[in-house]
Amino acid sequence: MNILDYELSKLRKSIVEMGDLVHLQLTNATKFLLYKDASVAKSTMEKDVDVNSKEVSINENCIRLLALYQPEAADLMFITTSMKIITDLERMGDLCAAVCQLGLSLGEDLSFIAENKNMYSYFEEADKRANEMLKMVIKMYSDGVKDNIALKDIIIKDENIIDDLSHKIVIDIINYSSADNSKLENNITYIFIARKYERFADHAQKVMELLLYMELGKDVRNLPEF
Amino acid sequence: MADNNGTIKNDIKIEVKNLNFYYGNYNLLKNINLFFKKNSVCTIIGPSGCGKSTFLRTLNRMNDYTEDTKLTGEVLIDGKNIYNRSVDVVELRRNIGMVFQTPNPFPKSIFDNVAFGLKIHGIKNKEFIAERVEKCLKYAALFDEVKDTLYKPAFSLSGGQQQRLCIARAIATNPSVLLMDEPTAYLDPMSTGIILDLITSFKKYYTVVVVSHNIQQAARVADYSGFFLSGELIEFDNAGDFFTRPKDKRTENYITSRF
Repeated sequence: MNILDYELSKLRKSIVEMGDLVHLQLTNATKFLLYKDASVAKSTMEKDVDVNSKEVSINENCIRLLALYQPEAADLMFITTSMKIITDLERMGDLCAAVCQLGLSLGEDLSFIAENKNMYSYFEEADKRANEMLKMVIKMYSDGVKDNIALKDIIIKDENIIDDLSHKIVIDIINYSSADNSKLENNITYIFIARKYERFADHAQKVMELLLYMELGKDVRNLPEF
Repeated sequence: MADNNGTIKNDIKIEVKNLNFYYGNYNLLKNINLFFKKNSVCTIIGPSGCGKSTFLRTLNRMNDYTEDTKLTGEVLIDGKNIYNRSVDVVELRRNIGMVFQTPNPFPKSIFDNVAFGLKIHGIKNKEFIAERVEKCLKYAALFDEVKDTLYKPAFSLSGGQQQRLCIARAIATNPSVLLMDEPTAYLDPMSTGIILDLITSFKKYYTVVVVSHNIQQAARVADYSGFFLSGELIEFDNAGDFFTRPKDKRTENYITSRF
């Protein structure tokens, strides 16, 4: 293995680790939303710093690789795509922290959860799908885009489902508010939170698009199926 | 430079202190201070005539025989000044292998080229020599190509192979330092790639100093890099910083070809 291959495998590993970290962040953010354990929220918000510093260090490493090894062809695409992917992963990490931040403002009253089991099941579902999307894009990145091209359609489908879920949450909140608008501020916060999950899924899909661009040289965002 | 990097003294293989070198009255190297860490690859870059080759040659006293030259300052290898009167130059060069720009094998067989250094150091044990020759040819990634033709003349090899033979010859005497003066200047991209990979793998065993015209190649192998201009050491830093955020504008201009 020549030195650049070794460096690229290290880069690949560090991005997989970053993906795992974001995965954990999302899982914890949702856990907090469902069970209202404030300590989970605090630790998740603190860990966002780790995600951010991973982005900085991976970016720095990519610049070093470009400067020292002047990569060409597939190596060049891999490094430049990696640099873009980490920006999205970092944003996804921010969204997890934002879910916690917003969630804390809802207070620790669990009665709303009991009353709105249906809406909470949408959050659970969105969390599950978003985490699956993240796993799939990381798999595409680490195990080869061509071998995992089938994941593309699942990712797009999941993204649409999360959009729907987010919309359903909004509808539920509107219905709930029209019946009882005493907690309007809280209700709007739920809409904001739903929006974070939607954005998370958008970023995951964008990573997939970047990977397709890396492999095929086509900007798939402009193709009709998107 | 030397002090800011927080290097422990024991990590330093070569330390150059206040080195000045004169051709007649012309001061070619001006007060050079730097150090090379053990088991690292350092590349020296700079335009032609900036003194980088001369500098490299001061590290194993290759300039001793050039007429009308003068050197002041110290070159410490493992803490000992190699310009001390008591230093045995032959022993010094055993410890410091050198590879040149043009492949320059001896007009002998492939085997004898590598065995030569061992023989002049008085080693007679044939088995030991044969073993050592094989090992060095393997280190230099040449053995597989020449194992059946070891007794053919070295000049029958291609340029890239000859250069690898010279590398095998340079490491035969088990040096701890390897100096390379533009080792890939005359090679095709394939041979260049092989030699660059070799240089990277060599740092396990040696402290390697490479002089190079080629900035890309210098970047590829380097742990540390230095930039020479008109006999001055402008900048010396770890390669990551040197090639991404050089501190001196002149270094920046040179490595971005804006000279």
